[in-house]
Amino acid sequence: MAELRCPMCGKPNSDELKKCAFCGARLKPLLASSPDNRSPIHPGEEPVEQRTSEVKRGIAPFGEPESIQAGDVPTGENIADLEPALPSWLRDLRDQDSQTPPAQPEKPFADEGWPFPTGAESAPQPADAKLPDWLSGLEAGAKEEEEVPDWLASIRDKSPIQPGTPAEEEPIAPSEGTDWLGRLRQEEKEKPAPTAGGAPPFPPESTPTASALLEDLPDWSSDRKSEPAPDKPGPIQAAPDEAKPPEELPTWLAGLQGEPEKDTAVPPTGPKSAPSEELPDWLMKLQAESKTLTPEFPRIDVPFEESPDWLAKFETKAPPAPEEPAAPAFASPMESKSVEEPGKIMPDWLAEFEEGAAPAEVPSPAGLEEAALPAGESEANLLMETPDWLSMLKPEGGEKKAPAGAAEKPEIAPVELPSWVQALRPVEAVMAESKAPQEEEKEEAAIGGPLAGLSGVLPLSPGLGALRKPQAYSTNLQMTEGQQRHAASLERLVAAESEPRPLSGQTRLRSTNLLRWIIALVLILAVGLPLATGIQTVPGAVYPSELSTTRGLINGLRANPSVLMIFDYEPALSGELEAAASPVIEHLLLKSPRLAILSTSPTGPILADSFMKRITTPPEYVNLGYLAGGPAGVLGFAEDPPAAATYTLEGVPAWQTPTLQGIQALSDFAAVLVLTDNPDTGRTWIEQAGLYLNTAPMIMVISAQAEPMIRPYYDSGQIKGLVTGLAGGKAYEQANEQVFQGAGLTRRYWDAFSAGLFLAEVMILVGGLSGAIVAWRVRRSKAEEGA
Amino acid sequence: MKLKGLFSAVIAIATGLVMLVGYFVELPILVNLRITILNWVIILAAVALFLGLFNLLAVHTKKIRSKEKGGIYSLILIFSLLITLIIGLWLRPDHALMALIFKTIQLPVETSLMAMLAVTLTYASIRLLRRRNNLISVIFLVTALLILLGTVPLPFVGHVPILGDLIRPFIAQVLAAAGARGILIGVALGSLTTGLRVLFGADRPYGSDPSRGEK
Amino acid sequence: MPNGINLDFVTAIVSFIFTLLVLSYLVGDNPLFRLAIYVFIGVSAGYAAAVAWHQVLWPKLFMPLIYGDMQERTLSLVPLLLGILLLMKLSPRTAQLGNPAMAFMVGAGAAVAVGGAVLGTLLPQTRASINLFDLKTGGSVSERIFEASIILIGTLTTLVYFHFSAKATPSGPQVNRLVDILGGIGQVFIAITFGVLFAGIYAAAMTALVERLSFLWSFIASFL
Repeated sequence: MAELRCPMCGKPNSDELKKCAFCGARLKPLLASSPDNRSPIHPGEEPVEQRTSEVKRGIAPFGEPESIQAGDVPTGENIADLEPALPSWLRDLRDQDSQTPPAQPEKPFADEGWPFPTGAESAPQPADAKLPDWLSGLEAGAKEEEEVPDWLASIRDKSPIQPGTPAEEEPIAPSEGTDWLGRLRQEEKEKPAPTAGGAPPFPPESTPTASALLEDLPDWSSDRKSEPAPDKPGPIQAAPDEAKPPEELPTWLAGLQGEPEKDTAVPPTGPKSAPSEELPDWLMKLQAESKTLTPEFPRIDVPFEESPDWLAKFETKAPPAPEEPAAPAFASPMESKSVEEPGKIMPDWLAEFEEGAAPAEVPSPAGLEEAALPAGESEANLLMETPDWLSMLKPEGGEKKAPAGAAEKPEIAPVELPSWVQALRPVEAVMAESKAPQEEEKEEAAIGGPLAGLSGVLPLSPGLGALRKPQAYSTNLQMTEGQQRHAASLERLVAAESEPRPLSGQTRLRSTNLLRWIIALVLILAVGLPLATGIQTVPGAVYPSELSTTRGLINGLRANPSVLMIFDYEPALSGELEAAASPVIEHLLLKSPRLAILSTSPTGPILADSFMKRITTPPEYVNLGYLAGGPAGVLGFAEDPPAAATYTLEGVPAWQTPTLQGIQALSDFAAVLVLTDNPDTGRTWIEQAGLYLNTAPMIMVISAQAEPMIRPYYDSGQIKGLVTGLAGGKAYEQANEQVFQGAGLTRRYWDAFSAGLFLAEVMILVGGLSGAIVAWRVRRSKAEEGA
Repeated sequence: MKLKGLFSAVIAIATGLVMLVGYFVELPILVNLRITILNWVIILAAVALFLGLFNLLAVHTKKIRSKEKGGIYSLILIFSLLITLIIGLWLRPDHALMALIFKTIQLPVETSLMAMLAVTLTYASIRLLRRRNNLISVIFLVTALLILLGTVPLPFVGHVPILGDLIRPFIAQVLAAAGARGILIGVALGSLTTGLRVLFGADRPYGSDPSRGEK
Repeated sequence: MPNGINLDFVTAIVSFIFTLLVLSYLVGDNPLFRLAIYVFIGVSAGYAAAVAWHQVLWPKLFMPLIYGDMQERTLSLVPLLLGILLLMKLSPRTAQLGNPAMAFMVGAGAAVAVGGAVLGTLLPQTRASINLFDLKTGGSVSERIFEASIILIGTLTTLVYFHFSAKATPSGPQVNRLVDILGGIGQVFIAITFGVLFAGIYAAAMTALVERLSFLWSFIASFL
């Protein structure tokens, strides 16, 4: 079984394990690609699983930032196009290592964190250790990605820097590539560093912790004196095979260790803390400083005076303001970095930190920090940003050198990048390579938000351009003058509605009541006096034409006829109907009929009973009671009378009584006499029962109010006889005076009825005329006013 | 829910078709079926009367419980209703006590209400032309006056022949009959249309009209 | 019989009181009038329910169900079930259950109305309008034709008056000129008909007033 060496502690682990059994650091990167898969991955394509250290530096292939967890190896980044921006010393280092075999590219930013291994990784980095992108770009075309410069490899094997370790000025072993460190350190000692009020080394979002800074230190800074190129490539694998004695820490590095108490938010890194006796002081100091930083966005404001001069040279510009337009959408920060001006020295991963990348977007330094931490480290370390020394890299002197260097000699030939690296390449880089590497392209950096400071980010929406603060709207109601006037008038109207108004209708109400009282008094007197006095001032009624027909029908009935009497009137008009029907029934009684009484009204049976009991010699009759159902009930009775009205009002079977002997159908009756005050009831009996009468006549005694609607049926012949109201009864009674002795109801009511009607007619006439005159005068006055 | 509406519609249409066909086809089974259906309708009409009674009780009971204004009258109503119902169910409607209740309460109240109508109608007739002074109102009022004048002879004057023998009969038996016939035909046409709509299922007044959102 | 006299006297007294209570509305609305009305409504409803039970439900539904033979019992189950469903209309929650019973009643009622309208009104009245011009019925020909013409014109114009269709025009709904004229004539006939109707109602109300006052006077006179 193959073994994997833990990048944090350096101990061997099984190939099948994902995390180190000793320190818990991730052994394998999150994304690994097959070394044979070298096809470029374009945006939108499925990423190909890749190996080792080609882990994104916290940035997804499509530019989406993702947080790097503890033990995760940040992704590599291709910064080959920044080669001109690299200082010469880096290039020299690369040249030295060009002959060394590349180290096994397990993870560019191993779990030991930053290129400076903090664990007990004393073994030199393997020759085939993978170079970080920013360094791999330096030897583009010359080496494979797995090649780790010896100088980096040797540094990587150095023991981690322990916090609290007194800063030691370890003289850097003079070498061709390390002279610059010594020079930087000398310069740092000579001149005071500028105040910390300068440009912040890192934007708040990307400020790394001290331990991250410690981890961010390249391996060569701590290891170059001790070992040759380490087996594993560090994040900055400049010279993996370059062994450095551990005790030969550059003075500038040792100096940075002198202030460990500044940042205490970040706990010391595990691997670093284990065998950390060899950590330079400045690393330890930074590690201590990082403890004080917040977990999310730890910021390390390393005083400028503490950063070495060589770092200060590479310090980039201040991060752009958040209001600056965002970079092209979905362009990874790495992509945005890659198309920066060639004049800029700051590499992508450094520029990202300058532009305030989100913690999740923290490029490789942050990832390296976290990778260097053991699994038990706090979350604060997970979001570490680039170390100060990286942020302070200013493209001042280097910028001048970079173009020159780039223009002078492209020492590093472009190398064919593996697919996973190409996937990490920003789109702009690809475009720049295809078009013109030196093409100057302005990129709008993202303004604010998680992508703040990153260039090449797609705008929020195409064409909108810069993000703007939303316009603040006042919560107060904005009204124009006209609206205010309308509102005020509406308010007045509403207030007026609620105000009590004087009652002006009382006089009108009194006059109305007075008139009503007068009318009632007149009518009562007009009706009451004849009733009380019994005087008869009105002659008999007019003899209507239909009266003779009715009398003829009754006279034409055979003896002892069976007659069906329908009492379908309400108690309210019982007086009129009784008065109108009395002469007819009395005339009918002369025939000794067998009467069957039925009603479609619940009060009809009892009215019929009371009516029949008023007759002096009541005839033989059967009260069939109440017939429910309206027209359907009438039709049912017309079709089958015994089934519809089985029992009498007393509960006796009706159709077996002698009165209804031989009666089984409606046509068996000799006549049907309907007493109704309602025209609809009369119409119902005519429509439903009329078809089943055959030759039996239907005679109706109706109220005066039903006459207009029932008369057409009489005119059409559906009704054979018709007696209307009190006047009809009076006329019928007059016609039979010879038969009936005494005064009937009609005689009793006739004078009072006449007097009352007469006075009512007078009142209606006088009132109508006066009303018409008043209305005419009012209309005339209005017309005159209008004219 | 749609099935329930369809079921009711099927019942209504089937019942109506049986009744209609019976008008034209004289089949014994059809006649018997019609009679049976009509008897069931009579029974259901009595049930509907009780339905109205229970609803009346519920309305006034609610009025009493909610202590609305006039709740005492509702209490009186319920009391009188229950008393009458109990006596009627116990003794039968043709009992003397029921007749007494009818004659002493229902008959005089209804008749008195109708008597008050004479005063109200007189008042309304007096103020008619003041409110609506147009040709139609004048025709209406003049017609009513002529009919009333022709109905009863005048006191102390007696008959006015032109009124009683000519004008009133002509107005009542010709002019009014013409209008009444037109109204009756129109009402019949409306009943026909409405009935056919129900029989066709286009109108469902029995609570399953989908156009009204009913189920 | 003393009891009968007493009963009549009680009847008279109570009737007199209730008559006065209702006629007091002529003076103005008052609690006594409302008392009389509410009592009247309760008594009317109770009486109607008692009549419906004894006259319809008991003899037509429950008696066959209890005492009838198997056929009668079977046939009585249907109206019993329909009646129970109809009573479900009392509650809004169960109201839908009453729809079949309502549908049954509505279907039968609609058919009855259609048959009665066609066979009882439409055809006979149309025939009667035509027969008005039948000169064989006797009487003066001119008078008959005159009356028949007026009745026909009145009938037709009354029907035209109830035609409310209008043609949609840009200036609004526009009725046909001829229809408008005929409708105006029909309106006159309708006004005359309603005038006669009003006179009849008034005569009936006057008769009721006469009857009530006659009762009151009779009662008072009985004590004089």
